[in-house]
Amino acid sequence: MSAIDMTFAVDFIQAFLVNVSVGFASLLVGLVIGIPFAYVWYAGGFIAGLIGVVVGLLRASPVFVFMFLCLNILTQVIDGGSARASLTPMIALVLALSCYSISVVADTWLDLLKRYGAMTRESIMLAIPVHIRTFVILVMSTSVGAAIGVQEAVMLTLARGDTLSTRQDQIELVSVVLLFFVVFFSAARYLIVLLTRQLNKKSG
Amino acid sequence: MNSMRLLFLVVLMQVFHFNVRAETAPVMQDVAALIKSAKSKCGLANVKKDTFTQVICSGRFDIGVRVNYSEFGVLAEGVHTGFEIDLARRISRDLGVSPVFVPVSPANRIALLLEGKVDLILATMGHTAARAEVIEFIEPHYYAAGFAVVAARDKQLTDLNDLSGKSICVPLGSYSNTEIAASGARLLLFDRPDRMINALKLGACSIIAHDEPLLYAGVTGPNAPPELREKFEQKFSFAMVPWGMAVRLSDGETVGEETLGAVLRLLLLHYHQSGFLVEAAKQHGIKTDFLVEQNRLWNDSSCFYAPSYDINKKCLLAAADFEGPPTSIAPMVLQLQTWLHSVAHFDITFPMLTSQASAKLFLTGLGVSLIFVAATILTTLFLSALFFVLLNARYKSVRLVGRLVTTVLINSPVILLLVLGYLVVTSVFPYNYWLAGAVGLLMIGLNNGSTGGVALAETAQTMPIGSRFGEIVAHGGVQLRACVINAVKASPVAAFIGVPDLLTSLVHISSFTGERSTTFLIVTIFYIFVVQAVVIGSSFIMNRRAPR
Repeated sequence: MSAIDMTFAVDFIQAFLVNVSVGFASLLVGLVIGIPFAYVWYAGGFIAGLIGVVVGLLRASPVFVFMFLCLNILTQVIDGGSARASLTPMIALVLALSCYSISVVADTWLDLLKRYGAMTRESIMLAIPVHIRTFVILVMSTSVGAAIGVQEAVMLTLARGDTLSTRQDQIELVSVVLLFFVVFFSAARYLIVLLTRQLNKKSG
Repeated sequence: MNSMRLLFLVVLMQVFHFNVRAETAPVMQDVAALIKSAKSKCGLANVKKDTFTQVICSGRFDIGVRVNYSEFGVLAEGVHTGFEIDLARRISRDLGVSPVFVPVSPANRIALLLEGKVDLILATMGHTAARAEVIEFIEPHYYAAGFAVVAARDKQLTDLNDLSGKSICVPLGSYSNTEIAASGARLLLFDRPDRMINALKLGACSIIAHDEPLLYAGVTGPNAPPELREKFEQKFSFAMVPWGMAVRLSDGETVGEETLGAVLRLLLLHYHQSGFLVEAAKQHGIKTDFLVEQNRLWNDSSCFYAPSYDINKKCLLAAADFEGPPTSIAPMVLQLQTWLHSVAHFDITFPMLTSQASAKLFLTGLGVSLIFVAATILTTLFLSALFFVLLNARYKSVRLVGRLVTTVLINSPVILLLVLGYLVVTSVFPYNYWLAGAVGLLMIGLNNGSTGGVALAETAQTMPIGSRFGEIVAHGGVQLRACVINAVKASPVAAFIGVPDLLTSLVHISSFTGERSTTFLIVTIFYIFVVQAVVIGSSFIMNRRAPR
C-alpha cells in the first residue's frame, strides 16, 4: 500500500481544516476574554491583581495536561449519548488552547494600553500581527488533540500509519506530513512578517 | 406503543407472580419464608428495618443497571432489555416487588450503592478484592468473563507484549487496564462502551479492549453489525474475572440470614441449578460456557449440600486481585476524603494514595516527570547553544544547513516530531521506556532549542562583533528563558510516545480506579508549580547575570 494517495490527501486537507477551525475558535475565546481582562488589569485595584494571578496561572498551564483535565471533566458533565458527546474532545482542546490565547491576548493588550491608554487605531495595527502569530501557533498546537482522539490532521495521519505494513512506509508518511506543516507554517510566518511591515508603514 | 409494552409487562409480571406462589423448589420455599418474615415487620413502627425488609414492605426494588452494554443492559425507547435486566426482573418477581432500574456506569455504581440511591448493583461488575472491601458480592457469581483485545483482522497481535507502544482504547474504571498499562501501551479512556465501539468504527481507535461478552455482542460475534465483524476480530483475551451482583456490606449475608444478601444468594443458587441463567444467556446470544459449568457445579452435592444449604467454597471463583494491598496511609486518606465530603461536599478521592500498586505508579511517575523536566531544560539549553554555533559558523554552507534545520524544527508540531523520532528509533532498537524518554528529550529539545538558537543568533547580530557567548546569552536571556519554559510546558507531551511520566501514570491509575477529576487536577497543578518554579529560578539566574 502506498503511504500517500489521493484519498488520503483529500481526507488530510479536510482534517487540517479541523486544526484551523480549532485554532480560530481558541483565538476567538482568547480575544473575547483576554481583551476585557487587559482592561480590568490596566485599571488597577484588587480585581486587577486577581486578573494578574489568573493570567499568570493560564500562562503556566501546560496545554497538553490541561486538555486531559478538560476532557475528563467534560465527559462527566456532557451526556455521553448526546450529539455533543462526539464534540467533547474538540471542546476540551479549544478550552486548553484558550489558556494560551487568553494569556497572550491579555499580555499584549496590557502592553498596548500602557503605551496608548486606550484602544486606538495604532494599537489595533500593532495587535493584528501579534494575534495572527498567536493564531498560527494555536493551529500548530492543535496537533496535540491527536492524544485525545480529535479527528484532526495528525490523528488522521497516525490512523493511516496504522494501516501501513512497513515501518519505512510509516516514516515516509509522517515525513511528508511534517513537510506539509513546515511549508505551511513557514509561509504563514513569512506572511506575518510582510503584514507587520505593511501595518507598521500604515501606522507610521 | 410504549403503553402497550407497559401493559404487556404488567400482565407478564402478574402471571409470573402467580408462578412464584407455585414454586416448589426447597430453596424457594426458604425464600418465601424469609419474605413472609419480612412482611410481618411491615406494620411495626418501632422495629428498625433493614434493606430487605424495606424492599419487601415498600414493594420497590432500586437496582443499578447498565443502559449501554450490549446484550447485558440496554435502554432503548424507554425499555430496558438484556441478560442482566432479565435476571433483575426475575429476582424482583420472586421477591414479589417491582424493579426500578437506575442507570449506573462503572465509575459511579459503587458510590450510588453506598449512598443508598440503589439497593443492588447488577451492572457488569467484576468481583475484585479491592471492591469486596467496601461492598458485598453475592456468590455464586452470575457470570464470568475475560478482557478481550479486538483489532482489524490484518493486525498482528497475539498477547499483551504486542501492545507495547501502541494506542489502545479502554473502558474507564476497569481493573484489567492495569495489565494493559503494564505492557507499555498508551491508554485512551472511554466511559461508555458504545462510544468506544463507535470510535473503532470511525477509525479513532485502532485497537480496543473491553469485557469479552461486550465485544462479542457488539463487534466480533454473530449478532454484531456485519461491517464490524467482517473487519475486526478478537486477538486474545486475558484476566478472567467473575461478575457479581453486589449489596452494601450492611446487607451482606455475613450480617444475618434474613438480609438482602442472604436472600439473593439463595435465589442465585436456584437460578444456576434450574438452568434459568443458561436459558436467559442463550436468549441474548451470550456465551454460555461459564453458566453451563455453574449449572453442573451447583447441582453437584459436593458443591452444594441442599438439606443444610452449605456451599463448598472451593466451587466458588476467587475475587480477582489487581490492585494489591492498601498503603499504610490509606486509612488517613479515606478519613480525609470523608471529611472533605462532609465539610465541603467535595467528592474528591485520592486513589493514587490508597493502594500500593497505585502509589507505586504515582511516585514513579512523579520522579520520572521531575527528572524529565530537568533533563528537558538541560537539553534545550545545550541544543540552543549548538544551533547558535551552527547559525554563526564561519562557513556559509554550515550556516545554511543550520538555517534549514532550525526552520524545519521551529515549524514542526512537536507531536509529529515525537512520532517521527519514535518511528525511526524503534525501527533500529526494540522499544523500552528509556528509549521513549531519550526520543522525547531529543525531540522536545530540538523543537525548543532551535527557537533558542535562532533567538541567540539574532541577539548576536545586534551586538558588537567578537562578543563573548556569555554576553550574548545575558542579552538574549529573555528569549532563551521563554524557550526553556515552553520546553517544560511541552514535556508532558512525551507521554504520547510512552514516557512513563506523571501524566501516563495517572492515566493508568484512573483507567482502573475510575476517578478522573482529582487525578488530572493533580497533574495540572503539578505542572503549573513546575513551570512557576522554572520561571522564578530562571528570573533569579537572569537577574544575577544581567548585563550592567
